[in-house]
Amino acid sequence: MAQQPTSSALRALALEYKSLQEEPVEGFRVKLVNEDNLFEWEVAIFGPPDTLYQGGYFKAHMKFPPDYPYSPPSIRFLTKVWHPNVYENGDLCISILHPPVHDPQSGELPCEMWNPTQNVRTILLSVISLLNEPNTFSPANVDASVMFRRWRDSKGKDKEYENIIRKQVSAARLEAEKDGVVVPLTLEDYCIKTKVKPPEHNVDMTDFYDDDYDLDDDDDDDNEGEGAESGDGEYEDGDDSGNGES
Amino acid sequence: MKVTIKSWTGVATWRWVANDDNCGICRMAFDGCCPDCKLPGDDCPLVWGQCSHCFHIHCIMKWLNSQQVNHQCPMCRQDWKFKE
Repeated sequence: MAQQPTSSALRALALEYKSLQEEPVEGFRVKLVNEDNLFEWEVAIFGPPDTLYQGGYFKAHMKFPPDYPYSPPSIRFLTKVWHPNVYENGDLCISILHPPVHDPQSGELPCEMWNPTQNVRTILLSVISLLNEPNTFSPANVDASVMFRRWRDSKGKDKEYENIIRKQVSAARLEAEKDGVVVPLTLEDYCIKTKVKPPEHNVDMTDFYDDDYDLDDDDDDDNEGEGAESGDGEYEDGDDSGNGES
Repeated sequence: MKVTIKSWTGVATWRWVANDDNCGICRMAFDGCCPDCKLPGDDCPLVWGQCSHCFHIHCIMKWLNSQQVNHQCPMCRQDWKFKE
């Protein structure tokens, strides 16, 4: 029984990993740190174009708890990231990865915190938006936060923050070259061109009746008739209440 | 023409009528069961909140029981109340 949560976490992670391989998130690549451990992922984040982080390549490890998705994973950057919400050791501090406990000190609302319908995709999207829009209310790196605010409030005239980021970005770019990764620089390259598949509506009532007939293989006549109907009329009778019966 | 039916076998299928295919918590199909159960059906039912979101009962209970503070729907974060 003690293994039970781990097995459900495994299934959730396997599903997510597969879906991210098939339909990647813009600006990210994911792989497993170790092929036979689904609980540790290596994520590569590409700096979004038209931001300070453009051209950057930031590697991070994501660690999932045994009871995922009931508890959030943690993210630690391996690449040096000077950012108000990243600790010295690379740990990322973002409310979506905090369990929803009531802590008035944190200034975080429970509704911004972890819940089990979050997934790697939503986390990664939050991370990339945090990158360019730090949260300075509860900084993990106070110096970076002060510097960032100076940069922002001076509308970019105070370049200390900008210079550090740019230095880190160019260092990260060398790392990307070493890894044989081409960092997308333009918006066009950055945005993944996904083939949009039309959603499959499995839950409509017509399907319900079709399934009914599919299983009904005792009756040959019926099978042929229904087979033809489901071929051409599946979506037309989407909302009716059982014309197949009449 | 007269047809005499000598025997027949009734077959039925069932399916939960939910507004989604998968449980947002365990990500398994609603027509399957939650990861802790072996068989789909009445032993692993779905429940609806008043917000109209729906989960495997075991998944949402596990989540609500782990929350000391407010019980919210994990989908829309409204207060979770079971729909009668």
